[in-house]
Formats: sequence, structure tokens, C-alpha cells
Amino acid sequence: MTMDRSFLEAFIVRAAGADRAAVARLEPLSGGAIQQNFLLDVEIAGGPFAGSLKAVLRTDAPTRLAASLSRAREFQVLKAAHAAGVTVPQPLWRGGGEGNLDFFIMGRVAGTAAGHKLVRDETIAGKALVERIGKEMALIHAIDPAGLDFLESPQPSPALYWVNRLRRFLDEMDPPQPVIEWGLRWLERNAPGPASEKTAKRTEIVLCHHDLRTGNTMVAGGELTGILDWEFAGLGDPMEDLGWYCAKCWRFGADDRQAGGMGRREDFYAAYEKQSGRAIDRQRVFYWEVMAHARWAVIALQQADRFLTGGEESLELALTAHVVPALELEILNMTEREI
Amino acid sequence: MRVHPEGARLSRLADKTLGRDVFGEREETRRYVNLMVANAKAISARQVSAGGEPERLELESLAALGRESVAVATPEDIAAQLRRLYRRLIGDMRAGVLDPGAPGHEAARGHLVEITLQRLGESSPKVLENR
Repeated sequence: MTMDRSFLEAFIVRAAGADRAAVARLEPLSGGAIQQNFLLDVEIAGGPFAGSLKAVLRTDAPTRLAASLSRAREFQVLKAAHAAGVTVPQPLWRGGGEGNLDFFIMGRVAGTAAGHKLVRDETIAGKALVERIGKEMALIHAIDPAGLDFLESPQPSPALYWVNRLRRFLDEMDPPQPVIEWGLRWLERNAPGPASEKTAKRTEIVLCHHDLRTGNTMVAGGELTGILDWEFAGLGDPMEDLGWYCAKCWRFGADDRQAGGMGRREDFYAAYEKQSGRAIDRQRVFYWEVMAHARWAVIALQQADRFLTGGEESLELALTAHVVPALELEILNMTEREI
Repeated sequence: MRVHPEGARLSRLADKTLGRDVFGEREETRRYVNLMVANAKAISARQVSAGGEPERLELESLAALGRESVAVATPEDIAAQLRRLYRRLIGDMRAGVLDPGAPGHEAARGHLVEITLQRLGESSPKVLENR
């Protein structure tokens, strides 16, 4: 990160309308391989934020994935979600430019998001949590995206948009990835929506989080305290988010709890349906679970590519490629039959 | 083809990572780094133990799908031929030539399953144990 404490303090004074700001703590948080998050404690004197501020500063990693939003745009989406009553960290201020990395500051929420810890904690996993997440997901899908006009419209349909997009990413990579391609061809053949020959069912387009999964849900004392990481938000089929949340690859080994490794799929579905008034198309969710495995595999390869060609000497990034064979096996198993 | 970065490169990166001063880091971070280093070293060891045979067999199987015969001498040759033949296979997939019901569908899927199990055995053998 190129900004230093004095820069940050001056920024906070301006943004918070304060007399003085003193950074007491600024240290990297674990997680967030794509973006960098810093724990930030600030003592603020004067203005509406006077007192001790416990926050998180979020900025770009040295290299960024092509599919992710800029920090400025992510901040706008976060503000829209906050305004709609979705449980998210409070968006505070956005800064950057002029030689500094783009960043934003948000309130810090309590708890842990670590998936492998959450799925093992029997006091957390269960009906109440997945019902809450189902409800929150419905709130996200109800956000009017009119003020977020930078979000791309997924054409010709959300499904084919992703097939084409993932193929473009794979075309830029070496070596070739035949198993992911096998999955993408299945996803093309079985694509729902207007472009499908199999169904005339229209695909609804809503604001999707696109990465709402265990690992991006902050939980404290069994309660959801914040939905994190909005960098992949975009327009899409509401069933995309349901498929992503339920996909086996995001259950952290707790495969019998099909809703994010945290609870029963039917409890999660029921809460979503009740809040949204939208009937869940189970077959379509399965389709998006296949897509989730293909998409996560491509993201993992992109992460490794940041080491292979981007010059980021990170063992974490390099190892991410080695999750791909497990995803590929799921893709092969799930695509044995057509839908 | 093997997952990139391959074991040898991972192992070098793991050595470099160990050489960095992580003692100022939090306990949780140090533990995480040590787990990553152990994982990288284990992948590398499994690849060294398997040698070049898996990729040679993979190329034979892939060439048989396209009824090709390939003559290779070095690991670099094998890698280049695998790239070339996989690009062609992917072209066929995208064109629908290997869709269900097509003559090559089952053989292509069988090949992909075999190479995936091989890659899993090197990258995450626990997944195989838990199947």
C-alpha cells in the first residue's frame, strides 16, 4: 500500500469533518487474497465521528482480477446495499487517486468469516443462520440497480454471458484447461433463459452479490454481522447467488449441510422464498452450482496467474491453482447428465 | 497436464517464503504460512515420486482419442504435444463434436476423468481418500 499514516490521517480529517485524526493501528487482516484489507483504529477529535473509530480499510492488491469491480464501484454497491437494509459493514469514505491506490473505509463488524472455522462450530451452524442469509440474499436481489449504471448487462443471457466470459479468460491462459471447458460446453448446452432452445422461461435480472458464500459472511455469537466482499457484484439471474451459496465447493467439507456447509438447503430456500416472494427453480439452482465450480476454478487459475505471470511472489496465490482438480472432479460428476 | 505452478517451482517458492521473517506476524498467520509451506512441499514430493510417467501416459491416451500417433523424446516435447492436442480437443468441444451421443463423447469423458484423478492424486489426495 502506498499511503502512509500521515496521508491517511489528513484524509480522515477531511472526510470526517474532524479537527484531528490519529491512526492508532493499521495492520493487514488475513484473508482477501484479491483485495487487501487493513484493520484500522483511529482516534478522531471533533466533528460527527469524534471518538475511537474501529474500521477496515480496503484497497487493491498489487494486481487485480479482471472480473472484479474497482474500489470506487464496490463502494457504491456497498452503499446501495447498506441503504437497502442489507447487513453490511457501514460504508464510510472513499479515497485514492493521485498516485495512491484506490481505497475505502468501512465500519468494522465483529466476528469471524473463516469458513473452515464456521462450519466446525456447532453453536453457529444451523437453521437460524441459513434462514437469515436467505432473507438477506432476497434483500440484495430487491435492490434497485438504477443508480449502479456501471454494472454490465449480462447478454445474451446471464448463463451464456458467464460461459462466454469464462472462455475468454481461459483463452488467455496457459496451459489449456480441457475439464473446465467440458463443463462450459455442458453449461452452454443446458443454459436457461431466453437463448435456450429448451425453455421459453424468461430470466429475471437482479443485482447479485456474486460471491455470497460461507467465507464472506461475518458471524459473531451465531448471528450474521456483515456480508463482505462486494467486488464481484453485478447484474444476473437471482438463482446464481443461490447456486453459489449452496455449491459443494463452498461447504468447507461440511457436505451434508448443503446451504453453505452451515444448514439445510430447504431452510435456506424457504427463507429466501418468503422474503422475496419468488419461487426457487431448483433445477436452475443446480445449473448455477455447476457454474459455481467452473467460475471458482477459473478464479483460482487467475489467482495463480498473478504469481505465474504477474510477478506476485505469494505462496497462497500459487497454491490456489491446486484446488482446481477437486473442482474439476465435481464438474465431471455434475455434468454426467443433461438437465 | 500438471497443475501450474508445478511442484519444483512451488517448492522453491516455499523455501523463499520460509526464509522471510514471519516472527513479527501473529501466531495465526505463522501457523497458516507453515501449513502452506508443508502443502507445497508435499505436492512437490508427490510429483518427484511420480516422475514423468503420468504425463507420458496422458499424452498416449489423448493421442488415441484423436487417432494420432505422436513421437516424443523429452518432457518438453510431451508438454508441447499435450498443449497442441488439448487445444484441438477444446475446439472440438466448443463445436459440439463431443456432445452426448457423439462417437467420441464417452472416450473423451473417460480420458478427462482419468487425468483429473491423476492431478488430484498430486494436488489434493485427501479428496480422493474421502470419495
